[in-house]
Amino acid sequence: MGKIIIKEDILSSLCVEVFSCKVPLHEAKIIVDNLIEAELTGVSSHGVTKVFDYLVRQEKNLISATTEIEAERDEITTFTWNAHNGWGAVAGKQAMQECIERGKLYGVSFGAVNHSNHFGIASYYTKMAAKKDMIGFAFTNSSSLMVPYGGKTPSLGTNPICISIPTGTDVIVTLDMSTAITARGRINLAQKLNQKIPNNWAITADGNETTDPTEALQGYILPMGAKGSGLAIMVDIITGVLTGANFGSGVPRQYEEDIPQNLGHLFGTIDISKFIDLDDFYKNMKDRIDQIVNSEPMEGFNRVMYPGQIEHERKCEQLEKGIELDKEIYLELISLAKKYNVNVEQYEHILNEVR
Amino acid sequence: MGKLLVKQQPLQSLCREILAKPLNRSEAEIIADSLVFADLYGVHSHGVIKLKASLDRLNSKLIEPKTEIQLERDMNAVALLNANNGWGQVASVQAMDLCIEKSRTFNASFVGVKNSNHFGIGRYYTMKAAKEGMIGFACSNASNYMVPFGAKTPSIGANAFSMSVPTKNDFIITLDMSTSNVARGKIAIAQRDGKPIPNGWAITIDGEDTTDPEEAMKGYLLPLGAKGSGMAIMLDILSGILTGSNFGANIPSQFEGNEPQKLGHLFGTMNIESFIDMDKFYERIEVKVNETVSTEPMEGFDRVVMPGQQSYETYQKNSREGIPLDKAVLEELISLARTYEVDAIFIEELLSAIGGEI
Repeated sequence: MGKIIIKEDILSSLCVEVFSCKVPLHEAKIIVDNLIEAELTGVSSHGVTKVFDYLVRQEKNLISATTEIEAERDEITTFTWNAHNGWGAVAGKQAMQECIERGKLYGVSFGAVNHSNHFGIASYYTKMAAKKDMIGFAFTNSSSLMVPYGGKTPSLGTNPICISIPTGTDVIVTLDMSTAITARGRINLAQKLNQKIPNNWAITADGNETTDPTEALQGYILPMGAKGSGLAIMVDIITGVLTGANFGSGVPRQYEEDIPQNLGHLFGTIDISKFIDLDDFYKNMKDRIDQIVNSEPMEGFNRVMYPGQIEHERKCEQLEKGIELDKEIYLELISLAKKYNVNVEQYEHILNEVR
Repeated sequence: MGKLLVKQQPLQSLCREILAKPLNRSEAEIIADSLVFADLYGVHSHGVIKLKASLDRLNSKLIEPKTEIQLERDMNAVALLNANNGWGQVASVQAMDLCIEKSRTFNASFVGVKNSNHFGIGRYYTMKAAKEGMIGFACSNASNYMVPFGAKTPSIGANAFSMSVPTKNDFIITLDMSTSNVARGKIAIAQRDGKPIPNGWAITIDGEDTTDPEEAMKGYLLPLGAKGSGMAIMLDILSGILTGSNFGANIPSQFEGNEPQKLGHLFGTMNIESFIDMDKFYERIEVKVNETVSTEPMEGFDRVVMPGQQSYETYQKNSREGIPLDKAVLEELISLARTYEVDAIFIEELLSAIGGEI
């Protein structure tokens, strides 16, 4: 299937029009902004393809159309919010804004969200903090698809860890990593291409090693060794156990199970200037990045990169040239828009232009 | 290599008395406690084996005999201590205590330490927080021994990260991990035993793959893939750059270097009851522990464990039966004790604890 190149604002406007048929416009804009950021940074697994997944769950009433946030705890630098099964991206953005405000006052803030849903790309939130000269943290738990190290049955999501650190320029050093050995998307791809996968990526539903992507997708993902498993357990504790959300094997699957997920997230900020003068911090960040990118690469590598460099470069490129998108996904978006009686004339017109 | 079992008390007393010769008694107590704590939990690479190397650095005037800690910044939930090239353990205990105190008021806080030295094992501090009903974090940067993912030259340490979470009983869930593929100590063991190491552990000084532990020890550690490399870089920024300490390639080696390391550490705490009722948290954490340890193991595994469970079991066993240490390590301690003219009674105590002569 071919690819199309589409300007970010047009793709965004199409998605907002679709979403706002089901959710209030201001929430639609936030959800779509997150998906577009994922597309721009090249993380297409969390991009506009999520429009379908999200709306399927919304149509089944598994996600509330509006996000009614209720503060359960409010304790100086910390808080716990109940998102009442609303949109993860909406609750997440608001929680990070709250962490930024409190972090500016006290130096540190951590905010928990329970009864939430998939919050999109974690770096969306941590970069909000970095843009305010803060270090941002975001964690979430997710569908129980991963086994703990050495186990046959799942009780973990591929729970991501995300940290962003500003540099004083438009570069934001960002580590956004899952705790799995590989992304489920890569197994999907292998299945599509009819390729075998390495035997340490996943296990079958019976807990046996496999190199067959189909069996792997019916089975469970393996963690990034004992360390990845330990990290995933810790993330599950701070996002699930601590927040009052579902956790571990209690988290229903996003795609296969028709019950609200009640996911939990934890957001955090550290205000850099409370520790060190920003000028000194940014001078040393430049040195830190230079040390990495100036490293002589090992055999088999073209260059050495700082965390988040690929995504930053992809974003700069796609902001300028437009987003590269599977044509199939764009066509599906348009037919969904038609179903909702959105006027798609200008969006179809673009398809003719790029052809 | 023969192992001898030695009880915690005589071992710790001897270490304390050795350290109390060149240092303040109060500082000697903290350092000895942290070293023996590592051995109790089975992390021998960070245990009493480190004593001689630390004293060597002291004697070369690379570490100050007295840890003069200055509070450089103190603002609500944040503080920064300057250890003025004193002992990492001493400054870190003070930093974590301050962090805990701040979280009693503010609920979440971070305290940094600059101009410090090796702080021992991270869990020594994070477990302190857990005992106060808090989630504790600790990280430090370290000697520049590791290459970033895909690089031939080092600009990071095998920077460690530790996190502890309390349960309602004695067991504290603890993740204490380095960001390298394997610990340098494992390569040292392979070198001692004359065995090859797998590819992927380390590279030579010229940046080539190697299975020769000797070449690996002269070369650099490899990170735990791209993710481990990314984590190590983030930990370097959090502990080094944020605190105004050395970072990356600027950090001199702990063993071969001849200047102060100026390491940085960062400690964090979150007060659990500010998020959720403590009873409810403990109930839920018990469910989490149970679902993990009751997981049916995969082929090749005996069981599934929580982070920190194995080392906790080692701690229980070592507390009861004694700490297994290499004869050579004990010989070195006794020889240090004699050099520092420690009261003979402490040497006698250690010797009688292991059944006489060694």
